[in-house]
Amino acid sequence: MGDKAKQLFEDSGGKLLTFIIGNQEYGIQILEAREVVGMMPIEPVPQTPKFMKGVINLRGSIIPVIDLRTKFGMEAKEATAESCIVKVDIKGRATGCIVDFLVGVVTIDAKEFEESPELGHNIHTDFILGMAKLDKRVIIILDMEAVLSNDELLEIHENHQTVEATKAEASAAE
Amino acid sequence: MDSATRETIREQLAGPRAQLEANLLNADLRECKLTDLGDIMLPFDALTQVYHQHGLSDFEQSIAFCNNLLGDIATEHISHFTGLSYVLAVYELMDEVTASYLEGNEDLSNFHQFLEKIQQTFKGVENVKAALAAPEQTIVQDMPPMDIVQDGSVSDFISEVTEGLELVEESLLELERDPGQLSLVDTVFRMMHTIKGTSGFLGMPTIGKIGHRTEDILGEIRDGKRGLDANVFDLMFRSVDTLKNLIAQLVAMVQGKPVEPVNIGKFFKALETVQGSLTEPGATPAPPPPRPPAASPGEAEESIEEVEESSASSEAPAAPAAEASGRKGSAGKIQEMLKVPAERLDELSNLVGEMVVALSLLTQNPVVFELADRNVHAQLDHLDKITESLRDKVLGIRMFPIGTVFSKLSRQVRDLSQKSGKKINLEVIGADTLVDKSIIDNIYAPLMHLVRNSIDHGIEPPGERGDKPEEGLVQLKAQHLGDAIEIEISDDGKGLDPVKLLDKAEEKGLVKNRESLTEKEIFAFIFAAGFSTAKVVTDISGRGVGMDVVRRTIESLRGKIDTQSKLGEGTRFSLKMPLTTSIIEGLVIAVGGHRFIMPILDVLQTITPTSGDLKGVQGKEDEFFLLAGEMIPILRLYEIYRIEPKITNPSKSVVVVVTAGNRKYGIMVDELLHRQQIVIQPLGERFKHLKGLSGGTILGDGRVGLILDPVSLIQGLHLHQES
Repeated sequence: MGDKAKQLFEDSGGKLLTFIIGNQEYGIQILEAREVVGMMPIEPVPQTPKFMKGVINLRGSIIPVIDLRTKFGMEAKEATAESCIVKVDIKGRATGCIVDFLVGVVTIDAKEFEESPELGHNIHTDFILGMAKLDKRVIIILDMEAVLSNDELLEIHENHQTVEATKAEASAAE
Repeated sequence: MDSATRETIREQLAGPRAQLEANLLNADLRECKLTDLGDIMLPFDALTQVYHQHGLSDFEQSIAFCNNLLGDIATEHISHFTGLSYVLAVYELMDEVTASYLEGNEDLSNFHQFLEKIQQTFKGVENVKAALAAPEQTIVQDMPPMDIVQDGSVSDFISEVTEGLELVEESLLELERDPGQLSLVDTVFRMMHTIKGTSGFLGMPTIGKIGHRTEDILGEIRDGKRGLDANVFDLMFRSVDTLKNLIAQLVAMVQGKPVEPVNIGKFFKALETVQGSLTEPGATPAPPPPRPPAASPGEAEESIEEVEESSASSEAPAAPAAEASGRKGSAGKIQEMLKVPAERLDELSNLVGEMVVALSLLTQNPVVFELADRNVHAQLDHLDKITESLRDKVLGIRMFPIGTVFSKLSRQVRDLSQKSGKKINLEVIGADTLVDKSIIDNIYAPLMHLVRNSIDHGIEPPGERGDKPEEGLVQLKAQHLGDAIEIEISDDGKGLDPVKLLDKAEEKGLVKNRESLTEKEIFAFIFAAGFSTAKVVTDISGRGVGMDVVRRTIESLRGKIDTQSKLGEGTRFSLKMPLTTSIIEGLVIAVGGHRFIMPILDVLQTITPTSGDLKGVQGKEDEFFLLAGEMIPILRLYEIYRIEPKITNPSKSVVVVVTAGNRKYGIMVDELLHRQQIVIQPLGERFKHLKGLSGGTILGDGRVGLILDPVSLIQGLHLHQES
């Protein structure tokens, strides 16, 4: 069992906050989830990757919000009355994550946990800590640190700049 | 003694006396280095030789007394101030008596009397030394000289040491937990060094001594000569406690409250244990009276009567407390200070900002607005006033007078004027102007640089100043301009030469078309990296590395620099920056469905160009517009940020004119909404690579608005074009 998975059982006592995106149930360590708020107006930030929806005012502090659907390569979807924002705190950095539907808290046992599952194409396995199988439910446990790692944000941002640059060149050529 | 011998003596004495005249009488009582002491000791030695040769043992003795004092100063047993005051008093009298002796007046009984008295009085001072050597000893410190109490030096010293000791204590605790962190030893060492230095400088030998001994031990630890065992920690904590008590005593003394003697013996006991020295406590001198009786150094230098008077009082020692309060007179106030993490103040000011916004939402709510009840409106008004003053108070917490920075500068100006051989008159206006702490912390270096430039490159050397007064004028001026502060540095020197600047700029490849540049644009070149027009690089300035740093520092404070200069008449730099760095006045603008905030300080003007003023290349007739004869490029925010705009025709939009680098640009937006004060919040790590955005804020409707930074926005565009 990896360090992060150990942490799941030792620090969070195997408790997961679970939610649904698309047709799949996902879970994150309960300790990483700070609060859940309903959808609210999101101010887009220019020159950021697609999954970065923008920033919100959460009781006076400005926090970024990402769309997990887009982040996981799924088709973007309009928010519904059931969509909500899960605020996660990784290393003191707060980020809001849009999910389709919040399920609740579930406690899993170490023997229900399975590491490195083989999954289909539409899921980035890098973001996955493992899986939990409970009766008929299959919960994909996310590694939020990997999901929110800045490297990827930067990389995409750089690409974006290149697009801008090409555009600028094109307009200069005119 | 015959007149020939007298003549010889007089001749022999002349040399050393002249030297003493120069070295001793001009010595700064407060600040003197070991070399200065040497300069005084050498002529003393010469005098001793002469006196010895002629058997004048009385004079020889008094010189020996002075030399001992100098030695005590050098070994930091007594303060410079106290020691030198005595040396001066003794020497001046001795000099006089010697003169009259050589005139033939050989009666020395008065001199004997005086020497006896002064040595008696001095025992009081010596007590410091004796007390420090005693294992169990309480001490009451000397009252610091009145002038440094009044100018606040003592107060500053007290808060500095108090803060320092807190840090020391924290570091020691941490170190005890984890002895591997040797960097903490360094921290403590540096603090003790500062305490030692400053207390020596201000004439507080006891504190200085304890700092010194602690520093020694720490030095040994740092150099690996000593391990970190329990004894050492015990010593360190004792040292901190003792210093704290001594500071508390100092505070009481300055405030004129009853003074409690401090037991410094515990520290020395601990020191003994650590050093492993087994000195017999009995071997140390008998404990002298706790307080140096009335050995006020200030009095000693004045006259013999004064000394006699004080020695008289030493026979009937007054209670130290009573004496201290008697000395109080116009005692300085020691303001109690609280050290609070800046973060908490930021949180507080953010919250207050939110509160102002929330309140304005409430008062503007149509339901509330239409309420017929007068009381509700009166109460809301009241709440509004309270909120307003609360906001002002909270913002005021971080505000300090700029004078602290100015006074540091004036000291530097004096040095520079000596170094460069130019006479400088520094004029300071508006020293009590309040500015945010972050500005105080960051403005010194850029101001210093500009002042240096004024002195080194601006003010002409004496003789080259033509009709102007020989003394060059450098003026520092601070004033509030609405919600901004303006700091001006001006000189009446030779001014900037636009032609020279242009030549240089061309040489550096910064200009393509020199005719098209305005004077302002030319002056802006001096802030370009690596740009210096000084022919000779002096050690004061001229390397051209500084001015771009100045610009960047000011920009990091969200400020602007404006340069005015007239050849032969002088140069004026004016720095304009917001009063606080967390709250700014902003212009809320709209593009498509988005709102952005443009800091007011960045905005030169807003204008809707007429279609006749729009210029451009073929096919694109609206790339530029004409403003007062100047062609200004139009930047469309919707293009840069790829937003769906409402308006694409500049003559129907609003153009916000800003400057970046040394050019003007027009940022085209759909409309201007309103102007308001905003609380800046950082957007965080995630967005720090974004060009053109400096932060976010919560707008009146509770939504987030992004704050534009036109300079980095435009720089970002240039980067793209170049790549």
